Amino acid sequence: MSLGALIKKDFRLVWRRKGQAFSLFAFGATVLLLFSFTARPATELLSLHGGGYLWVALLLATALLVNDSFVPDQEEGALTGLLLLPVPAHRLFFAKALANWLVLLLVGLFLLPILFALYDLPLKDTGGLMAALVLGTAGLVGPGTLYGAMAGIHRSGGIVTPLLLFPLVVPVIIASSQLTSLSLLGDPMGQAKGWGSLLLAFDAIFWSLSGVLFAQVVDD
Amino acid sequence: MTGVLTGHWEFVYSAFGLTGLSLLLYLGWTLKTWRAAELNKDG
Amino acid sequence: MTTSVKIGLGFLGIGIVLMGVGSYIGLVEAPPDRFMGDVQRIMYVHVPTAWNALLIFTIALGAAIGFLVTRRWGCDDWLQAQLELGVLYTALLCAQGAIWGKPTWGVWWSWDPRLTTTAIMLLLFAGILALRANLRRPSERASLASVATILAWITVPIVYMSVRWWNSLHQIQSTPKTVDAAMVLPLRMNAFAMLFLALGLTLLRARTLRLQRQALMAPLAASEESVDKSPEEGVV
Repeated sequence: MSLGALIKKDFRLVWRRKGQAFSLFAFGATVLLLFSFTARPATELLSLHGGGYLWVALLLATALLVNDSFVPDQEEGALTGLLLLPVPAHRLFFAKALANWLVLLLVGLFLLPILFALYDLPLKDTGGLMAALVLGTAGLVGPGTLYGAMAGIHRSGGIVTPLLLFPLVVPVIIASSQLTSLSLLGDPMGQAKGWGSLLLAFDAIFWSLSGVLFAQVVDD
Repeated sequence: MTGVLTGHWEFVYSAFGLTGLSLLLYLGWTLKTWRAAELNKDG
Repeated sequence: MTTSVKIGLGFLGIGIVLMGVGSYIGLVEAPPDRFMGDVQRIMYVHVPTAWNALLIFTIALGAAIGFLVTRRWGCDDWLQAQLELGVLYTALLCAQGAIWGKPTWGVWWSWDPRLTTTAIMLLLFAGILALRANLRRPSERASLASVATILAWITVPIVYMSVRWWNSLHQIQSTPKTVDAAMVLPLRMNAFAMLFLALGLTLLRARTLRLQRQALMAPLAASEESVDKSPEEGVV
């Protein structure tokens, strides 16, 4: 089965479960709302920390997203059937990771208006903000999809995914929070490029490593 | 004593004590579970 | 007693004696540091813990790759033992660091690169122990833990290099050239002591885990055998 066909399958599954993507968006919006209570009475801090809060919301949403991203594949033994075909496991991984990436990216995009409205944020660099969203969400779902397979296929318990994923993606959270804040509040020192390169490197390393290791997770 | 920082032995002893005690506890638990596993094997 | 257990107990004996002598020299014989005073003596246990923690996680990486390549249960027993020990050593490392930080830096904890990366490493490997505890089937427990170990190991070189890559409050690695001779001896002795303790504990834990797994799988294997044998073969 070609990668294209697999991607089509996973995107169709996402479409069929639109409700889940919407729930994740509602979840992220709730997290952003909760953060706005933590800064009282110094609400001006919200505009300083808003970039970071967005990434914590997206990180929490990632754990929920990946944990049941393999559930529909297991209905009626579909995944077992797929594994019997001569398909390299990394293709299954990349198709699923791309679908998860799309969902998280959409959640992030739709959270932006809420972020601006709740925290009263300026926007200095739209391109930088988009780069942060694209690269940062990729960094979260890459290893996230691998751990999600552990939870979805092996029932490792929902709590294990955040336990393993959150510490691993600390560099992503740091870099994308910085990149987001710089694009919102301005980047007088020209630091954005460095954080962007760090994200790109993280994405490249963890997407390829997760792709290679995925075979070991589904084989057993 | 020429040190800028003098004394503070309580910190030194807590670091050594904590390390030694933790290692001993883990060692004790290791020996206990090992004995139990050997006995279990022999029925 | 099996050979591995005998060697393990021997290593533990060597480790305990070395640790006793090394710590005595470090606490009593060695001179206080010119700047740090007696608090510097914490280094005689802190630095050996750090070296061994990184070494143990690297052995864990070897065991993880070894399991994925060879599928030998021995690798998985070693992996579990190294994960436990590495988490223990790293937790101790953080605690010793905090005890050191209070009198010298004035704070128990600081968000400095070395401390932060070490804390991340500790949480990641502790997460793998949680993963193992949540999985029932020995084969999936071994594969998934191996995969997670390979991903988590990436933090080990980052912890090691953190003091060089970023400006850090934490001092950079010392070498015998930068340290007084009277300080090298207790440092070396405790380093080997903690290494022997780790190896001895690993051998004992690996033996225990092997026995426990065999006990778990024995009824399973027996039932599979009886299913495999067809009635014609005449099971009496």
